[in-house]
Amino acid sequence: MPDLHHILFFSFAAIILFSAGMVAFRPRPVESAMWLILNFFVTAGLYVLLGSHFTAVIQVLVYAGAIMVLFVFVILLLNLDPRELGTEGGASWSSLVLFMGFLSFVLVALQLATPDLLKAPAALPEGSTFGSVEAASRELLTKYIWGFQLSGIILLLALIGVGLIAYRKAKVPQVKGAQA
Amino acid sequence: MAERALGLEQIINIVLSASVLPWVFFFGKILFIFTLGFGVIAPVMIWVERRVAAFIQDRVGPNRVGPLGLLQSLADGIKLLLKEDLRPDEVRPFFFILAPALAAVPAAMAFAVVPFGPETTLGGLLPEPARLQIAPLNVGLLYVLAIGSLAVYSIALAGWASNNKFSVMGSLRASAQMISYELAMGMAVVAVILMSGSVDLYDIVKAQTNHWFIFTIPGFIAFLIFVPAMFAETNRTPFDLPEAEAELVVGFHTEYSGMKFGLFFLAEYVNMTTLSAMCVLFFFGGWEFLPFGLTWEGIGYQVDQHWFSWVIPFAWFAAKVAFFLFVFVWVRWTLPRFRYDQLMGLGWKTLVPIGIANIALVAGLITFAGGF
Repeated sequence: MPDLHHILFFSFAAIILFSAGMVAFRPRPVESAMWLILNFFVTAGLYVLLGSHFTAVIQVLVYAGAIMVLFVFVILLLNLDPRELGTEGGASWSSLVLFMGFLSFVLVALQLATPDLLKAPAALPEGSTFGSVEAASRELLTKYIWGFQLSGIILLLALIGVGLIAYRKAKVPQVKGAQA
Repeated sequence: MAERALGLEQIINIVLSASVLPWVFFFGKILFIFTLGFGVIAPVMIWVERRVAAFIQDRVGPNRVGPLGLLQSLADGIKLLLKEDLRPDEVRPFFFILAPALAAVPAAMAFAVVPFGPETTLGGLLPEPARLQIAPLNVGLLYVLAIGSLAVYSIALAGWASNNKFSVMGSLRASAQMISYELAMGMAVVAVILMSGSVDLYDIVKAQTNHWFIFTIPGFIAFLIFVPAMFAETNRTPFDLPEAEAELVVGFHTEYSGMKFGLFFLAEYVNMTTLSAMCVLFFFGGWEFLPFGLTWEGIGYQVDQHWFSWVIPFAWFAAKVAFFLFVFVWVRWTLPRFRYDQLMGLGWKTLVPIGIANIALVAGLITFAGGF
Protein backbone atom coordinates (compact mmCIF):
# COMPACT_ATOMS: atom_id res chain seq x y z
CA MET A 1 0.00 0.00 0.00
CA PRO A 2 1.66 3.22 -1.09
CA ASP A 3 1.72 5.88 1.60
CA LEU A 4 1.07 9.60 1.17
CA HIS A 5 4.78 10.28 0.66
CA HIS A 6 4.90 7.93 -2.32
CA ILE A 7 1.69 9.21 -3.84
CA LEU A 8 2.92 12.79 -3.59
CA PHE A 9 6.34 11.92 -4.95
CA PHE A 10 5.01 10.16 -8.00
CA SER A 11 2.37 12.80 -8.73
CA PHE A 12 5.00 15.54 -8.43
CA ALA A 13 7.40 13.58 -10.61
CA ALA A 14 4.70 13.06 -13.23
CA ILE A 15 3.82 16.76 -13.25
CA ILE A 16 7.51 17.71 -13.52
CA LEU A 17 8.08 15.42 -16.50
CA PHE A 18 4.88 16.48 -18.20
CA SER A 19 5.56 20.19 -17.74
CA ALA A 20 9.14 19.75 -18.89
CA GLY A 21 7.79 18.18 -22.06
CA MET A 22 5.33 21.01 -22.54
CA VAL A 23 8.12 23.58 -22.20
CA ALA A 24 9.75 22.04 -25.22
CA PHE A 25 6.64 21.46 -27.29
CA ARG A 26 4.43 24.51 -26.88
CA PRO A 27 4.58 26.89 -29.84
CA ARG A 28 4.33 30.18 -27.96
CA PRO A 29 7.29 31.22 -25.76
CA VAL A 30 4.98 32.60 -23.07
CA GLU A 31 3.23 29.26 -22.71
CA SER A 32 6.56 27.48 -22.46
CA ALA A 33 7.60 29.93 -19.77
CA MET A 34 4.42 29.24 -17.81
CA TRP A 35 5.03 25.48 -17.96
CA LEU A 36 8.60 26.04 -16.80
CA ILE A 37 7.31 28.02 -13.82
CA LEU A 38 4.98 25.15 -12.94
CA ASN A 39 7.96 22.83 -13.28
CA PHE A 40 10.07 24.88 -10.84
CA PHE A 41 7.19 25.11 -8.43
CA VAL A 42 6.60 21.38 -8.30
CA THR A 43 10.33 20.76 -8.03
CA ALA A 44 10.15 22.88 -4.88
CA GLY A 45 7.45 20.43 -3.75
CA LEU A 46 9.95 17.59 -4.17
CA TYR A 47 12.42 19.44 -1.93
CA VAL A 48 9.71 19.79 0.70
CA LEU A 49 9.16 16.03 0.53
CA LEU A 50 12.89 15.61 1.18
CA GLY A 51 12.52 17.78 4.29
CA SER A 52 14.52 20.68 2.91
CA HIS A 53 12.22 23.65 3.32
CA PHE A 54 15.01 26.13 2.82
CA THR A 55 15.97 24.78 -0.60
CA ALA A 56 12.31 24.64 -1.59
CA VAL A 57 11.68 28.27 -0.69
CA ILE A 58 14.89 29.41 -2.37
CA GLN A 59 13.91 27.44 -5.46
CA VAL A 60 10.63 29.34 -5.69
CA LEU A 61 12.20 32.66 -4.75
CA VAL A 62 15.11 32.53 -7.17
CA TYR A 63 13.94 30.44 -10.10
CA ALA A 64 10.17 30.89 -10.20
CA GLY A 65 10.15 34.36 -8.67
CA ALA A 66 13.17 36.08 -10.17
CA ILE A 67 14.70 34.32 -13.15
CA MET A 68 11.42 33.39 -14.80
CA VAL A 69 10.03 36.88 -14.24
CA LEU A 70 12.97 38.09 -16.28
CA PHE A 71 12.21 35.50 -18.97
CA VAL A 72 8.57 36.52 -19.16
CA PHE A 73 9.61 40.16 -19.17
CA VAL A 74 11.93 39.63 -22.13
CA ILE A 75 9.32 37.60 -24.01
CA LEU A 76 6.77 40.36 -23.48
CA LEU A 77 9.28 42.99 -24.61
CA LEU A 78 10.01 41.12 -27.82
CA ASN A 79 6.28 40.52 -28.29
CA LEU A 80 6.87 38.18 -31.20
CA ASP A 81 4.28 38.03 -33.90
CA PRO A 82 2.77 34.53 -34.16
CA ARG A 83 3.58 34.61 -37.90
CA GLU A 84 7.26 35.24 -37.19
CA LEU A 85 7.33 32.23 -34.90
CA GLY A 86 6.22 30.00 -37.72
CA THR A 87 4.29 26.80 -37.41
CA GLU A 88 7.09 24.33 -36.93
CA GLY A 89 7.79 23.36 -33.37
CA GLY A 90 4.10 23.47 -32.61
CA ALA A 91 2.73 20.99 -30.13
CA SER A 92 2.58 17.68 -31.87
CA TRP A 93 0.94 15.28 -29.51
CA SER A 94 2.60 12.26 -31.03
CA SER A 95 6.06 13.66 -30.28
CA LEU A 96 4.96 14.47 -26.75
CA VAL A 97 3.72 10.94 -26.24
CA LEU A 98 6.97 9.60 -27.67
CA PHE A 99 8.93 11.80 -25.28
CA MET A 100 6.92 10.65 -22.26
CA GLY A 101 7.22 7.06 -23.39
CA PHE A 102 10.97 7.38 -23.65
CA LEU A 103 11.18 8.84 -20.14
CA SER A 104 8.98 6.05 -18.75
CA PHE A 105 11.24 3.54 -20.48
CA VAL A 106 14.30 5.07 -18.83
CA LEU A 107 12.57 4.94 -15.45
CA VAL A 108 11.56 1.30 -15.85
CA ALA A 109 15.05 0.39 -17.04
CA LEU A 110 16.53 2.16 -14.01
CA GLN A 111 14.13 0.36 -11.68
CA LEU A 112 15.06 -3.00 -13.17
CA ALA A 113 18.79 -2.33 -13.20
CA THR A 114 19.17 -0.76 -9.77
CA PRO A 115 16.10 -1.37 -7.57
CA ASP A 116 17.59 0.65 -4.71
CA LEU A 117 17.93 3.83 -6.75
CA LEU A 118 14.23 4.64 -6.89
CA LYS A 119 13.49 3.86 -3.26
CA ALA A 120 12.01 6.71 -1.29
CA PRO A 121 14.53 8.12 1.20
CA ALA A 122 14.03 7.17 4.82
CA ALA A 123 12.01 9.65 6.83
CA LEU A 124 14.02 12.20 8.77
CA PRO A 125 14.49 11.40 12.44
CA GLU A 126 12.39 13.43 14.86
CA GLY A 127 13.94 16.79 15.74
CA SER A 128 16.39 16.66 12.86
CA THR A 129 17.56 20.08 11.69
CA PHE A 130 18.40 18.83 8.20
CA GLY A 131 17.36 21.31 5.57
CA SER A 132 16.69 24.11 8.02
CA VAL A 133 18.11 27.55 7.29
CA GLU A 134 20.64 27.18 10.12
CA ALA A 135 21.94 23.81 8.94
CA ALA A 136 22.08 24.80 5.29
CA SER A 137 23.83 28.10 5.92
CA ARG A 138 26.33 26.53 8.32
CA GLU A 139 27.35 24.06 5.61
CA LEU A 140 27.50 26.81 3.01
CA LEU A 141 29.65 29.10 5.12
CA THR A 142 32.05 26.46 6.41
CA LYS A 143 32.39 23.38 4.25
CA TYR A 144 31.45 24.96 0.92
CA ILE A 145 32.75 28.46 1.59
CA TRP A 146 35.05 28.56 -1.46
CA GLY A 147 32.39 27.46 -3.91
CA PHE A 148 29.95 29.86 -2.31
CA GLN A 149 32.33 32.81 -2.55
CA LEU A 150 33.36 31.86 -6.06
CA SER A 151 29.79 31.82 -7.32
CA GLY A 152 29.31 35.19 -5.65
CA ILE A 153 32.29 36.58 -7.54
CA ILE A 154 31.02 35.16 -10.82
CA LEU A 155 27.66 36.84 -10.27
CA LEU A 156 29.41 40.09 -9.38
CA LEU A 157 31.43 39.91 -12.60
CA ALA A 158 28.24 39.35 -14.57
CA LEU A 159 26.70 42.35 -12.85
CA ILE A 160 29.69 44.56 -13.71
CA GLY A 161 29.61 43.27 -17.28
CA VAL A 162 25.95 44.16 -17.64
CA GLY A 163 26.63 47.58 -16.21
CA LEU A 164 29.45 48.17 -18.70
CA ILE A 165 27.35 47.12 -21.67
CA ALA A 166 24.43 49.28 -20.62
CA TYR A 167 26.72 52.25 -19.92
CA ARG A 168 28.28 52.13 -23.37
CA LYS A 169 24.85 52.13 -25.00
CA ALA A 170 23.81 55.16 -23.01
CA LYS A 171 26.67 57.23 -24.50
CA VAL A 172 25.03 57.25 -27.91
CA PRO A 173 23.70 60.80 -28.33
CA GLN A 174 19.97 60.81 -27.83
CA VAL A 175 17.18 62.95 -26.53
CA LYS A 176 16.88 62.54 -22.79
CA GLY A 177 13.82 60.51 -21.89
CA ALA A 178 12.80 63.02 -19.26
CA GLN A 179 12.59 65.88 -21.74
CA ALA A 180 11.08 63.96 -24.63
CA MET B 1 -31.45 1.37 17.74
CA ALA B 2 -32.88 4.81 17.72
CA GLU B 3 -30.29 7.52 17.31
CA ARG B 4 -30.52 10.33 19.76
CA ALA B 5 -29.67 13.83 18.67
CA LEU B 6 -26.47 15.09 20.27
CA GLY B 7 -27.07 17.57 23.04
CA LEU B 8 -25.09 20.78 23.10
CA GLU B 9 -23.14 19.59 26.11
CA GLN B 10 -22.09 16.40 24.36
CA ILE B 11 -20.98 18.32 21.28
CA ILE B 12 -18.88 20.59 23.47
CA ASN B 13 -17.38 17.57 25.20
CA ILE B 14 -16.44 15.98 21.89
CA VAL B 15 -14.93 19.21 20.61
CA LEU B 16 -12.89 19.64 23.78
CA SER B 17 -11.65 16.06 23.92
CA ALA B 18 -7.89 15.82 23.62
CA SER B 19 -7.93 13.95 20.32
CA VAL B 20 -10.27 16.28 18.46
CA LEU B 21 -9.27 19.67 19.85
CA PRO B 22 -5.99 20.10 17.94
CA TRP B 23 -7.92 19.51 14.72
CA VAL B 24 -10.62 21.95 15.72
CA PHE B 25 -7.89 24.44 16.55
CA PHE B 26 -6.18 23.78 13.22
CA PHE B 27 -9.27 24.24 11.06
CA GLY B 28 -10.49 27.04 13.30
CA LYS B 29 -7.31 29.00 12.55
CA ILE B 30 -7.75 28.54 8.80
CA LEU B 31 -11.39 29.53 8.91
CA PHE B 32 -10.67 32.49 11.15
CA ILE B 33 -7.79 33.99 9.17
CA PHE B 34 -9.29 33.53 5.71
CA THR B 35 -12.70 34.80 6.75
CA LEU B 36 -10.92 37.76 8.24
CA GLY B 37 -8.70 38.36 5.21
CA PHE B 38 -11.09 37.90 2.34
CA GLY B 39 -14.41 38.41 4.08
CA VAL B 40 -13.73 41.31 6.44
CA ILE B 41 -10.47 43.16 5.79
CA ALA B 42 -10.71 43.38 2.00
CA PRO B 43 -14.33 44.65 1.81
CA VAL B 44 -13.89 46.99 4.77
CA MET B 45 -10.63 48.33 3.32
CA ILE B 46 -12.34 49.07 0.01
CA TRP B 47 -14.96 51.01 1.95
CA VAL B 48 -12.27 52.79 4.01
CA GLU B 49 -10.40 53.63 0.83
CA ARG B 50 -13.44 55.30 -0.69
CA ARG B 51 -14.50 57.09 2.47
CA VAL B 52 -11.02 58.39 3.23
CA ALA B 53 -10.56 59.44 -0.39
CA ALA B 54 -13.84 61.30 -0.16
CA PHE B 55 -12.79 62.89 3.13
CA ILE B 56 -9.44 64.04 1.71
CA GLN B 57 -11.15 65.44 -1.39
CA ASP B 58 -13.89 67.06 0.69
CA ARG B 59 -16.66 64.79 -0.61
CA VAL B 60 -19.04 62.46 1.23
CA GLY B 61 -18.27 59.07 -0.27
CA PRO B 62 -20.47 55.97 -0.22
CA ASN B 63 -22.84 56.33 2.74
CA ARG B 64 -26.13 54.83 1.56
CA VAL B 65 -25.85 51.02 1.76
CA GLY B 66 -26.01 49.93 5.39
CA PRO B 67 -24.78 51.93 8.37
CA LEU B 68 -22.26 54.57 7.19
CA GLY B 69 -22.26 52.84 3.83
CA LEU B 70 -20.36 49.88 5.26
CA LEU B 71 -22.23 47.36 3.12
CA GLN B 72 -21.27 49.16 -0.09
CA SER B 73 -18.48 46.65 -0.76
CA LEU B 74 -20.93 43.78 -0.34
CA ALA B 75 -23.29 45.38 -2.84
CA ASP B 76 -20.38 45.94 -5.23
CA GLY B 77 -19.28 42.33 -4.78
CA ILE B 78 -22.74 41.07 -5.71
CA LYS B 79 -22.75 43.40 -8.70
CA LEU B 80 -19.36 42.10 -9.87
CA LEU B 81 -20.47 38.49 -9.49
CA LEU B 82 -23.70 38.99 -11.40
CA LYS B 83 -22.13 40.97 -14.22
CA GLU B 84 -21.88 39.42 -17.64
CA ASP B 85 -18.59 37.57 -18.03
CA LEU B 86 -17.21 39.64 -20.89
CA ARG B 87 -14.34 38.34 -22.93
CA PRO B 88 -13.04 40.55 -25.70
CA ASP B 89 -12.60 38.88 -29.06
CA GLU B 90 -8.87 38.72 -29.62
CA VAL B 91 -7.65 37.82 -26.15
CA ARG B 92 -5.77 34.59 -25.39
CA PRO B 93 -8.66 32.89 -23.60
CA PHE B 94 -6.82 30.52 -21.28
CA PHE B 95 -4.31 33.06 -19.99
CA PHE B 96 -6.98 35.74 -19.85
CA ILE B 97 -8.83 33.65 -17.27
CA LEU B 98 -5.69 32.32 -15.58
CA ALA B 99 -4.30 35.77 -14.77
CA PRO B 100 -6.87 36.88 -12.18
CA ALA B 101 -6.68 33.46 -10.53
CA LEU B 102 -2.90 33.82 -10.37
CA ALA B 103 -3.42 37.14 -8.60
CA ALA B 104 -5.73 35.76 -5.94
CA VAL B 105 -3.92 32.48 -5.18
CA PRO B 106 -0.48 33.84 -4.16
CA ALA B 107 -2.25 36.52 -2.12
CA ALA B 108 -4.05 33.80 -0.16
CA MET B 109 -0.90 31.64 0.05
CA ALA B 110 1.18 34.43 1.56
CA PHE B 111 -1.61 35.19 3.99
CA ALA B 112 -1.34 31.63 5.33
CA VAL B 113 1.94 32.22 7.17
CA VAL B 114 1.09 35.54 8.78
CA PRO B 115 1.19 34.94 12.54
CA PHE B 116 -1.53 36.85 14.35
CA GLY B 117 -0.92 36.30 18.04
CA PRO B 118 1.36 34.81 20.69
CA GLU B 119 1.86 31.09 21.18
CA THR B 120 -1.05 29.78 23.19
CA THR B 121 -2.33 26.59 24.79
CA LEU B 122 -5.83 28.09 24.80
CA GLY B 123 -5.65 28.31 28.57
CA GLY B 124 -4.36 24.78 29.00
CA LEU B 125 -6.73 23.07 26.55
CA LEU B 126 -3.97 22.13 24.12
CA PRO B 127 -1.20 19.78 25.27
CA GLU B 128 1.58 22.12 24.13
CA PRO B 129 1.78 25.77 23.05
CA ALA B 130 0.58 26.17 19.49
CA ARG B 131 1.20 29.05 17.15
CA LEU B 132 -1.57 31.32 15.97
CA GLN B 133 -0.48 30.91 12.38
CA ILE B 134 -1.99 28.60 9.78
CA ALA B 135 1.28 27.16 8.54
CA PRO B 136 4.02 27.31 11.19
CA LEU B 137 6.93 27.35 8.74
CA ASN B 138 10.43 27.87 10.05
CA VAL B 139 11.25 29.71 6.81
CA GLY B 140 8.18 31.93 7.09
CA LEU B 141 9.86 35.16 6.05
CA LEU B 142 11.50 33.67 2.97
CA TYR B 143 8.20 32.04 2.08
CA VAL B 144 6.42 35.40 2.12
CA LEU B 145 9.10 36.87 -0.16
CA ALA B 146 8.96 33.85 -2.48
CA ILE B 147 5.19 33.89 -2.82
CA GLY B 148 5.20 37.67 -3.11
CA SER B 149 7.54 37.39 -6.07
CA LEU B 150 4.97 35.23 -7.89
CA ALA B 151 2.39 38.02 -7.89
CA VAL B 152 4.04 39.63 -10.89
CA TYR B 153 2.97 36.78 -13.18
CA SER B 154 -0.68 37.59 -12.87
CA ILE B 155 0.00 41.15 -13.97
CA ALA B 156 2.39 40.17 -16.76
CA LEU B 157 -0.03 37.56 -18.07
CA ALA B 158 -3.07 39.79 -17.73
CA GLY B 159 -1.47 42.41 -19.91
CA TRP B 160 -0.16 39.97 -22.47
CA ALA B 161 -3.35 37.94 -22.71
CA SER B 162 -5.50 41.05 -23.10
CA ASN B 163 -3.91 41.75 -26.50
CA ASN B 164 -4.12 45.46 -25.87
CA LYS B 165 -1.19 47.84 -26.07
CA PHE B 166 -2.15 49.74 -22.94
CA SER B 167 -2.32 46.47 -21.04
CA VAL B 168 1.07 45.31 -22.30
CA MET B 169 2.62 48.64 -21.35
CA GLY B 170 1.15 48.28 -17.87
CA SER B 171 2.48 44.73 -17.58
CA LEU B 172 5.96 45.72 -18.67
CA ARG B 173 6.05 48.54 -16.17
CA ALA B 174 4.72 46.29 -13.41
CA SER B 175 7.26 43.54 -14.09
CA ALA B 176 10.23 45.88 -14.11
CA GLN B 177 8.97 47.74 -11.07
CA MET B 178 8.32 44.62 -9.01
CA ILE B 179 11.68 43.04 -9.85
CA SER B 180 13.46 46.25 -8.85
CA TYR B 181 11.67 46.82 -5.58
CA GLU B 182 11.78 43.16 -4.53
CA LEU B 183 15.52 43.71 -4.37
CA ALA B 184 15.18 46.79 -2.19
CA MET B 185 12.70 45.00 0.04
CA GLY B 186 15.04 42.02 0.28
CA MET B 187 17.87 44.32 1.39
CA ALA B 188 15.68 45.79 4.12
CA VAL B 189 14.60 42.34 5.24
CA VAL B 190 18.17 41.00 5.38
CA ALA B 191 18.94 43.62 8.03
CA VAL B 192 15.95 42.37 10.03
CA ILE B 193 17.13 38.77 9.64
CA LEU B 194 20.61 39.73 10.85
CA MET B 195 19.20 41.56 13.87
CA SER B 196 16.85 38.77 14.92
CA GLY B 197 19.07 35.89 13.84
CA SER B 198 16.18 33.97 12.33
CA VAL B 199 13.87 33.76 9.36
CA ASP B 200 11.04 32.44 11.52
CA LEU B 201 8.39 35.13 11.90
CA TYR B 202 7.75 34.10 15.52
CA ASP B 203 11.44 34.37 16.41
CA ILE B 204 11.58 37.81 14.79
CA VAL B 205 8.81 39.00 17.09
CA LYS B 206 10.47 37.34 20.09
CA ALA B 207 13.75 39.08 19.31
CA GLN B 208 11.96 42.42 19.70
CA THR B 209 10.82 41.83 23.27
CA ASN B 210 13.24 44.40 24.65
CA HIS B 211 13.51 46.84 21.78
CA TRP B 212 11.42 47.03 18.69
CA PHE B 213 13.62 47.13 15.62
CA ILE B 214 12.18 50.50 14.60
CA PHE B 215 14.02 52.03 17.59
CA THR B 216 17.42 50.75 16.48
CA ILE B 217 19.46 52.67 13.92
CA PRO B 218 19.74 49.89 11.32
CA GLY B 219 16.13 48.90 11.97
CA PHE B 220 14.98 52.44 11.27
CA ILE B 221 16.97 52.59 8.03
CA ALA B 222 15.54 49.22 7.01
CA PHE B 223 12.06 50.55 7.74
CA LEU B 224 12.67 53.58 5.53
CA ILE B 225 13.60 51.21 2.69
CA PHE B 226 10.80 48.77 3.40
CA VAL B 227 7.93 51.25 3.24
CA PRO B 228 8.52 52.57 -0.32
CA ALA B 229 9.18 48.99 -1.43
CA MET B 230 5.86 48.04 0.15
CA PHE B 231 4.02 50.64 -1.92
CA ALA B 232 5.83 49.65 -5.09
CA GLU B 233 5.18 45.93 -4.59
CA THR B 234 1.45 46.50 -4.30
CA ASN B 235 1.48 48.88 -7.29
CA ARG B 236 -0.15 51.65 -5.35
CA THR B 237 0.25 55.40 -5.58
CA PRO B 238 2.81 56.99 -5.64
CA PHE B 239 4.11 54.00 -7.60
CA ASP B 240 0.95 52.95 -9.46
CA LEU B 241 2.54 53.36 -12.89
CA PRO B 242 1.25 49.98 -14.10
CA GLU B 243 -2.25 51.44 -13.78
CA ALA B 244 -1.56 55.13 -14.46
CA GLU B 245 -5.08 56.16 -15.49
CA ALA B 246 -3.98 59.29 -17.27
CA GLU B 247 -1.78 57.49 -19.78
CA LEU B 248 -2.67 53.79 -19.80
CA VAL B 249 -6.46 53.76 -19.18
CA VAL B 250 -5.97 51.42 -16.20
CA GLY B 251 -3.03 49.42 -17.47
CA PHE B 252 -2.97 45.69 -17.12
CA HIS B 253 -6.62 45.20 -16.20
CA THR B 254 -8.09 47.46 -18.88
CA GLU B 255 -9.92 44.57 -20.54
CA TYR B 256 -11.17 42.98 -17.34
CA SER B 257 -14.63 43.32 -15.93
CA GLY B 258 -16.93 41.51 -13.56
CA MET B 259 -15.49 39.12 -11.01
CA LYS B 260 -12.25 38.72 -12.98
CA PHE B 261 -11.58 42.38 -12.20
CA GLY B 262 -12.92 41.70 -8.70
CA LEU B 263 -10.18 39.12 -8.09
CA PHE B 264 -7.44 41.62 -9.00
CA PHE B 265 -9.06 44.10 -6.68
CA LEU B 266 -9.38 41.58 -3.83
CA ALA B 267 -5.79 40.40 -4.25
CA GLU B 268 -4.52 43.98 -4.03
CA TYR B 269 -6.12 44.48 -0.64
CA VAL B 270 -5.06 41.10 0.71
CA ASN B 271 -1.48 41.83 -0.41
CA MET B 272 -1.65 45.19 1.31
CA THR B 273 -2.73 43.45 4.50
CA THR B 274 0.05 40.88 4.27
CA LEU B 275 2.70 43.55 3.75
CA SER B 276 1.30 45.73 6.54
CA ALA B 277 1.40 42.70 8.83
CA MET B 278 5.01 42.04 7.77
CA CYS B 279 5.91 45.64 8.51
CA VAL B 280 4.42 45.35 12.00
CA LEU B 281 6.15 42.00 12.60
CA PHE B 282 9.54 43.25 11.41
CA PHE B 283 9.70 46.66 13.00
CA PHE B 284 6.89 47.19 15.48
CA GLY B 285 7.10 44.15 17.73
CA GLY B 286 4.16 42.25 16.29
CA TRP B 287 1.53 41.74 18.98
CA GLU B 288 3.75 42.93 21.85
CA PHE B 289 2.22 45.76 23.86
CA LEU B 290 4.80 48.56 23.96
CA PRO B 291 8.51 48.79 23.19
CA PHE B 292 11.35 48.74 25.74
CA GLY B 293 10.32 45.60 27.57
CA LEU B 294 6.73 46.59 28.26
CA THR B 295 5.38 43.29 26.98
CA TRP B 296 2.03 41.79 27.94
CA GLU B 297 3.78 39.81 30.67
CA GLY B 298 5.62 42.99 31.67
CA ILE B 299 2.37 44.77 32.48
CA GLY B 300 0.92 41.71 34.19
CA TYR B 301 -1.38 40.43 31.46
CA GLN B 302 -1.31 36.64 31.05
CA VAL B 303 -1.71 35.84 27.35
CA ASP B 304 -2.49 32.21 28.12
CA GLN B 305 -4.75 32.45 31.16
CA HIS B 306 -8.12 31.68 29.55
CA TRP B 307 -8.90 30.15 26.20
CA PHE B 308 -9.79 33.59 24.85
CA SER B 309 -6.86 35.52 26.35
CA TRP B 310 -5.04 35.66 23.01
CA VAL B 311 -7.73 37.99 21.70
CA ILE B 312 -6.27 41.10 23.36
CA PRO B 313 -2.76 40.73 21.83
CA PHE B 314 -4.43 39.81 18.56
CA ALA B 315 -6.57 42.95 18.65
CA TRP B 316 -3.46 45.03 19.41
CA PHE B 317 -1.67 43.44 16.45
CA ALA B 318 -4.72 44.06 14.26
CA ALA B 319 -4.75 47.70 15.35
CA LYS B 320 -1.12 48.13 14.32
CA VAL B 321 -1.80 46.49 10.97
CA ALA B 322 -4.87 48.67 10.52
CA PHE B 323 -2.70 51.74 11.02
CA PHE B 324 -0.42 50.72 8.15
CA LEU B 325 -3.42 49.92 5.97
CA PHE B 326 -4.61 53.43 6.68
CA VAL B 327 -1.18 54.78 5.71
CA PHE B 328 -1.57 53.02 2.36
CA VAL B 329 -4.84 54.85 1.76
CA TRP B 330 -3.59 58.12 3.18
CA VAL B 331 -0.54 58.14 0.90
CA ARG B 332 -2.57 57.15 -2.14
CA TRP B 333 -4.83 60.15 -1.92
CA THR B 334 -2.12 62.61 -0.88
CA LEU B 335 0.93 62.08 -3.08
CA PRO B 336 1.04 62.42 -6.86
CA ARG B 337 2.35 59.67 -9.10
CA PHE B 338 6.09 59.42 -9.76
CA ARG B 339 7.50 59.44 -13.25
CA TYR B 340 8.84 56.08 -14.37
CA ASP B 341 12.52 57.11 -14.47
CA GLN B 342 12.12 58.62 -11.00
CA LEU B 343 10.70 55.33 -9.77
CA MET B 344 13.59 53.32 -11.20
CA GLY B 345 16.14 55.88 -10.00
CA LEU B 346 14.76 55.77 -6.48
CA GLY B 347 14.81 51.98 -6.43
CA TRP B 348 18.20 51.27 -7.95
CA LYS B 349 20.22 54.36 -7.09
CA THR B 350 18.91 55.15 -3.63
CA LEU B 351 17.17 52.29 -1.86
CA VAL B 352 19.39 49.40 -2.99
CA PRO B 353 22.74 51.08 -2.15
CA ILE B 354 21.39 52.29 1.21
CA GLY B 355 20.13 48.76 1.83
CA ILE B 356 23.55 47.24 1.13
CA ALA B 357 25.24 49.83 3.35
CA ASN B 358 22.68 49.06 6.05
CA ILE B 359 23.47 45.34 5.89
CA ALA B 360 27.16 46.15 6.31
CA LEU B 361 26.26 48.41 9.23
CA VAL B 362 24.22 45.72 11.03
CA ALA B 363 26.84 43.06 10.40
CA GLY B 364 29.56 45.41 11.63
CA LEU B 365 27.63 46.39 14.73
CA ILE B 366 26.87 42.79 15.62
CA THR B 367 30.44 41.61 15.01
CA PHE B 368 32.42 44.47 16.53
CA ALA B 369 30.07 46.17 18.97
CA GLY B 370 28.27 43.03 20.08
CA GLY B 371 24.81 44.49 19.49
CA PHE B 372 22.95 47.14 17.62
